Amino acid sequence: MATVDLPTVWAFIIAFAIFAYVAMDGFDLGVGILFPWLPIGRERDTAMNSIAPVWDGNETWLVLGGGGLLAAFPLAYSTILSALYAPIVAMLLALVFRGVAFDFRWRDPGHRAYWDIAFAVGSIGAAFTQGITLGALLQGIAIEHRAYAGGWFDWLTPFTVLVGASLICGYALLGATWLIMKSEGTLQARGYRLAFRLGIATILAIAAVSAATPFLSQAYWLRWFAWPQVLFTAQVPLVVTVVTVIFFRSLMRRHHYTPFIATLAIFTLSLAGLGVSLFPYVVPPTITIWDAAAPTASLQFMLPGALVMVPIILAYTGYSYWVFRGKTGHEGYH
Amino acid sequence: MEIPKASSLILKHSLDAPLAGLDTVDRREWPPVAIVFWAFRIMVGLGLLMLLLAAASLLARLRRRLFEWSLLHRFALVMGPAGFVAVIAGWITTEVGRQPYTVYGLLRTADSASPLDAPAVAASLLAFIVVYFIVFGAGVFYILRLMNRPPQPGEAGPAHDQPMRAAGITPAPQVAEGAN
Repeated sequence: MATVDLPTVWAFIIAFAIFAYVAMDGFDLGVGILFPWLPIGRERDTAMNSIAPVWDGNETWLVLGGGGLLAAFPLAYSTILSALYAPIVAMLLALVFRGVAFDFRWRDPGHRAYWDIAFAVGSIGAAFTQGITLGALLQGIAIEHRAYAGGWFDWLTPFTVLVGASLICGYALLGATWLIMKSEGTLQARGYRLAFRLGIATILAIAAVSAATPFLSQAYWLRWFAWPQVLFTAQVPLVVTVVTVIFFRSLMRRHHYTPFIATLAIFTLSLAGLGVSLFPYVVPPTITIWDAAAPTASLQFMLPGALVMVPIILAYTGYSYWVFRGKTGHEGYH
Repeated sequence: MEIPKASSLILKHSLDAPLAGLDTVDRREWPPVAIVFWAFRIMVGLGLLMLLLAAASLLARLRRRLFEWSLLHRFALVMGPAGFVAVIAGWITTEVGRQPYTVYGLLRTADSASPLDAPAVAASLLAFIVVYFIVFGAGVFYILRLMNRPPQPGEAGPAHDQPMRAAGITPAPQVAEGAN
């Protein structure tokens, strides 16, 4: 076997954790984002019940991605978290509100309206700040002497706000298609209507972010459009177009599962696109995965742990989705 | 009360290891001693009270007075937050006791600070305090309401033959006044 480049292996493990997080917490954050558009009563209760058994497991991947970044790429962790201190703290506080809302809204019908607001605002805030984080990373982080050298509002630009708004749209789309898959009747009908509008908004948002990214830096431009790899990179928007057609057709034909799966495919392709833009940089424009990597001994030591734990997490996650498969009822169990 | 040599055994894994007192350490390397002193004693004291509660409950159980001994019930009620307080006190003991180091003996706290501006840190601290007060306040409010309502005979328990949600609609009772 050829020698394995450990930083590359770890980059893929962390990229996988981030993808798993975005795909899974994405739909449950999306349900929270859509909450103000769902009527109070049975539809909200069903929507919340559909994600209640899985939402906190979904956030495992945020911990795994963050913890993995700290362990495998400490320089990236320290500089990114310093640069994005405000949005990351805001994200954590938003997740606090949204997390407690799950329990408190059932226990206290007298104040349910407030916990619904906490749930929606927390979900929207978490999505927006995650988008800000991604946008700020893409536009580049000022580094001097292996430390963050920018100000505390560098993360706030029109581009980062665009990415933040796009992620809200994208998560809401995941949420709407999840509701189509997990519900029936009026809630499902609402899911189709919302998914149609959000699908258009998300595709426009992806197009806008994709169009803006190559103009952020010459490096992105070259990675996307230099000959001959344009033959490879051009496949990404092409496949996005195909999946988009599949998505809208499945909405028209009232399929239950295909809209969600197609949305996941769009997210997968977007992540692949980000990979094309960023790799091998972990903190553009200066720090590559090799600059940021922990000592080889650490990366080697942690690898067996990751290779054992990630499949175990995937197995029990899969099991919990299997237990709660099918349509969700509005009360009790199904 | 002191067991001879026991501290040496616990801390250094040898009966004859000398234990250096704080007076042998440079004063610049001292943690805030009063905080560590009291946090440690609160933790251990609560731990001993928990053991007392467990022993008293076992005794009452063996004497078939577990459901009648109201003094024990009051003691158990008062001990409700003990685990939480003990964990916090233990956490303070380790974190403050490690000062002035982040990684003991290797990295001083002053050297491990991020290049963040003070107002950003202050603002986040304030935000955490406000959010914790709101969320923790609501939690304490709900816990007290739940504790206020004694269990009823014949109350429905959890179902055992179906998958159950950890959140959402569960058989656990609602806490609002006037709820069913």
